[in-house]
Amino acid sequence: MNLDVKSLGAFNRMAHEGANRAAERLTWLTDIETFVEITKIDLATIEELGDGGEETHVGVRIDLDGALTGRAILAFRAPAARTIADVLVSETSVEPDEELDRSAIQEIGNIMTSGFVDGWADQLETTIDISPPTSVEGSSRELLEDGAETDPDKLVLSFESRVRATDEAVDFRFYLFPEPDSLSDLLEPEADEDVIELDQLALFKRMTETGAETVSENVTAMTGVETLVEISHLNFVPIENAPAEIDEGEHVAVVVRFSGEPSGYVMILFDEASAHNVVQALVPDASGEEFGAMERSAIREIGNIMTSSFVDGWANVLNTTIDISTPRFIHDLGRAIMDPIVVELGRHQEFVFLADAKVSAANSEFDFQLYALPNERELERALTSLEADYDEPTDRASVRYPPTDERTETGGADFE
Amino acid sequence: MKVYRSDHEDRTGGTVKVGVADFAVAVGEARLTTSGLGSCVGISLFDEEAAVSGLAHVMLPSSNDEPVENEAKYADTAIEALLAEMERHGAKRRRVEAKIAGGSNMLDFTAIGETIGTRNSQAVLETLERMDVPVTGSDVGGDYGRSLEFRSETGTLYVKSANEGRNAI
Repeated sequence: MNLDVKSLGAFNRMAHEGANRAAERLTWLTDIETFVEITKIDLATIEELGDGGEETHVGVRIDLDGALTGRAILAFRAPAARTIADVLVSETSVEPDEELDRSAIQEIGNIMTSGFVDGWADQLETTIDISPPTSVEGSSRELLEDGAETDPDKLVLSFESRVRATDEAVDFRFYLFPEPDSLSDLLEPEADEDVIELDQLALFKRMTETGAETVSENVTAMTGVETLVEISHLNFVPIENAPAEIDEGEHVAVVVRFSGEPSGYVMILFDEASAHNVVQALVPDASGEEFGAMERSAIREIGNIMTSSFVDGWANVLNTTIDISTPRFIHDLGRAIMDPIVVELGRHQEFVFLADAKVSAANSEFDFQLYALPNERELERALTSLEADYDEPTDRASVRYPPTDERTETGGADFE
Repeated sequence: MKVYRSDHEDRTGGTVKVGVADFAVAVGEARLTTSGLGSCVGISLFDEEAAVSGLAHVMLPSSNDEPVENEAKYADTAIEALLAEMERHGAKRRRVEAKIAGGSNMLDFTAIGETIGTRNSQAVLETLERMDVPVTGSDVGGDYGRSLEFRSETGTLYVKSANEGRNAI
């Protein structure tokens, strides 16, 4: 399948519009304020798409036919059924009634999914037929397996919208799994657009995974704690949505800027407890309380090794040279840490290919998230220039590091 | 409370969340929030008499007069659009007052010229001046992130940050 960024962007907007319509309908019916936090196009396996939890979700599934064929899933966490039923039928229902709760979800799901499809159809200026909704229930993975109708370890292209509500119980997610052929027909690239093949994006995702595995090995070597790459995603998101991937709490991060083909940013994000535990593993004498000079230095150093080994993997595959800046340590609100990155990239691009991977310690002492945000045009050029029969990395490429004496300086002007 | 968003209208409910490159207008008693401001700038506009409040979260200084898909992304177009939306719902421009927060400089990779956070704050102030909207409170700059909550019952903009605590302006 060939993809061009302009079409992907248009489809992202359609999915966002669909999610907005669905969210509006929930608000009309329940008076609960809703907010579409992020809409993304995700290239991942079903296993990676699910949140990994066993928590029961309830919702509805519909099949689409016509201009867009595929399957859509609306999923609430199970407590939403009770909340929505309470709002809708509070005057008639005194005792909790599971059957009534489920039918409330099905009824409201029906109304929301038709709103979702209307959003797409209006944007496409066409008609999309939908099947009657079917109730679904299970873990997020079970629901998604049902939606994608494919092997759990096969890469699929899907659309996901996350909607937050003022009553958290009714936060919901909307997934759309288009039929590949249907999407190719709709995604007919314009003649003057650079075209990325889906295989090239899949390769980029593998580069992220391989890079994350190298990072994991380095962290294990430095801390003595076994670590594992849990999941990785390649998302295509409006640049302003990218920070919504991070929760609103405080985090510790190391950020580097890299320049070359492509340029961009790598950010390693720890929750505070994980950051403390990594420091403890690296520097047993550290206080373990605040992030003082020693702790910052330790995080910066491990972050430096992590980010450089990650970018090294990219440079090898893309057969190019990528320079990296000195690492910056930041302890702040997680979303605010990513904000200056998206602002900087957002000067020149509307969307970003956001690659991320989660690495966890086997003993559960820490985990961290790795995010890579490349310049979109440069990434496109780098990927489309790869031979279609690309096989193994060469060792001709390299990463250029800042001179040692500049590592603690703040300027980084050499890497302009 | 009625809520009008940068891309949608007519919702009702409790606290209103405003995303990045987004704005919302509320009529009546309202709480408008936005989180994770780094270099971005948050702007609250309030017409107390009409009880119309607005909050925008802008990413970049200027649209450079080019057509834009999302006017809430740029300081100049977002403030104009937010003010227009507030006027549609009963606000009078001469009564509107502004408070701003954000525009920090957390990552110093450029180290040359003004940072994007500073330029965002300046663009917001210039646009508000051009539109004759007085700025009655400001908490900008520094090297830390902020989250905002505007409460219309007092017209206060609460600024929370990880390291600097909570500031009411």
